[in-house]
Amino acid sequence: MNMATLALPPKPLARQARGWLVAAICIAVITLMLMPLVMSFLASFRPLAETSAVPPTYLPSALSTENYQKVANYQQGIWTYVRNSALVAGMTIVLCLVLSVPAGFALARFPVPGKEVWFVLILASMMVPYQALLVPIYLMFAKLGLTANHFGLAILHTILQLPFSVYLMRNSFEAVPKELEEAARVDGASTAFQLRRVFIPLALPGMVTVALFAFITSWNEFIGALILMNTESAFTVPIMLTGVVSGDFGSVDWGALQASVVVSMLPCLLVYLALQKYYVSGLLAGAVK
Amino acid sequence: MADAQLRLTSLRKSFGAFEAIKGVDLEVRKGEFCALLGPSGCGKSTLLRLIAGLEEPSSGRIEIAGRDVTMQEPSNRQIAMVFQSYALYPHMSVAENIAFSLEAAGVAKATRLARATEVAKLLQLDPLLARRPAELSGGQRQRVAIGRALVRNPQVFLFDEPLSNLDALLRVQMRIELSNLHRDLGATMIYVTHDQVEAMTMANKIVVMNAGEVQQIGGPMDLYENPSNRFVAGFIGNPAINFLPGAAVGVTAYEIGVRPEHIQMVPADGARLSGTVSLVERLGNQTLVHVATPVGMLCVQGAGRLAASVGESVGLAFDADQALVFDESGRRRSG
Repeated sequence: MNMATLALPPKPLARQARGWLVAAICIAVITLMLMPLVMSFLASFRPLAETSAVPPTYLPSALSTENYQKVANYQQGIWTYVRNSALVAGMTIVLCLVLSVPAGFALARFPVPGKEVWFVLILASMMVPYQALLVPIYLMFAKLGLTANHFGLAILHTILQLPFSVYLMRNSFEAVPKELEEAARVDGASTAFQLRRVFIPLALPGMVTVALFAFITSWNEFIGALILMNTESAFTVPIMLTGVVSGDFGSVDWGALQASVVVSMLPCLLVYLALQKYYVSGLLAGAVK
Repeated sequence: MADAQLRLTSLRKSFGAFEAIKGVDLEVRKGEFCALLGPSGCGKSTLLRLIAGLEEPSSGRIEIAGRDVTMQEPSNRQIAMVFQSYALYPHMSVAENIAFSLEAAGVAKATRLARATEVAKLLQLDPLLARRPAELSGGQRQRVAIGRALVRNPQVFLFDEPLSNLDALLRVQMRIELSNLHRDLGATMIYVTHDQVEAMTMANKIVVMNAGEVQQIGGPMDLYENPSNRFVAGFIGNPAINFLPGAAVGVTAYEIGVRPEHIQMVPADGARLSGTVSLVERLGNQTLVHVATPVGMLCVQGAGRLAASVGESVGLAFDADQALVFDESGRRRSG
């Protein structure tokens, strides 16, 4: 058969215009989000003399790592603080998962009496600003010997992060089709076996999200760490960074501040990039239908 | 009966005020293929879930292989179930899916794999053992779900509308495969469906249900030829039976039912019942003619190309012996 290539008629102008408009909005939003980060990043490499120049310059005239050196060598050295932060964040992640996975599973899958009330109660605790809880918590922790202690700080961070974690895990477990649970029951799987072999693998994206949020909360949390930790060598990164940026006579060391922002942001960015593939949904594809 | 593989006695199930199963008695013998057939919402799936142990009955008794399992966990009932949605574990390979029940029972890995391979061969799944469910076609997923049931060597297989997610062609093929499987294994199967063709072609015993009650139990042709009430007569048979008031055709009965293939078209003059052809459906090997009559729309089924055209006046005739007679309550009357 003689088949000539038939050119498509041009797209209607309205449809083209809509595409451009959407692209323009996307670019505007991305620019808005990225601008401060780019500015910080550039500013962090400015030589000391340039950082407080008036009027400020946007592009550094010369690249300098002075600011980073200052941050790195501050007091105990940055690695001590990074280690402390990582330790606390790690413990927070573990505690959050250990508590929120069973709690979410029970709320999603068991006929717990009055479970909606419990659930709302758990969520309601997010309404209370945690700064208001710090003093009572501090007094309690002092009696328990949990102050000036990384484990204590991890518990505090877990308290902050737990309601949201339970909420997320409940949703993740609820997303697992009921038929899978029933099939597992018919197949003779105990509840523990179901959880280990069926539910946890399928709720993995939820668990990754919980871990990610726990990490970010713990990594950035400042006031709790400031109150609980009292020795310089036990400080976490946010506390150390506030120390680094205060210059003489209450001035602010802008260069060090920008370098600190970059330094404290990097781990969050790396953790997010490392875990983002687990975010991808579709883990349940092929389960039913 | 000694060889009853499954026996239900006065089984009831209510969800709050709604009575889903209103006292079902049923006996299925070893090796029987029993279909639970009925319209959606008739309670057939609930009945299957009661047998499986996924729902707890409100009252009554369930025995499997002579053992009272009414209050037993699903896993202690020696049953296996194939779900409508297949319910495959998406993160596991075909082999792991099939061997899941063995894993839960703590069987060693090598033995598990050997059993899974054996079952997979039976279902022609052996080249796919390493694949995930997402990488399988609908028919293959269905077979994995069946394999997962087979591996347990159950006393009774339970199927919950297993073919309803497949396309028409595959459905016919799986129907044949399931029938063969039933024959080869000699297994007892309980099969829930709303599709009378599936029930008629595969089952040797059909339980017709409506509104939580068993309407009739019998063999496929038995139900077709001797329905015990109006509901069964209307539900079994495609195209559906024609109902007409007895008085309209000079029969002393409240209502009669005539199958479409038992009605002939005759010249309109002098016929007791006549009407106008309103639709002609030609299916190739048969023709369905819908005729608007004073007592309602009637369907006539004839072999090949039936001569009929829309708007034509026709008379309808049938042999009174082939008509089914019903009383006011819908019960079948003999004669």
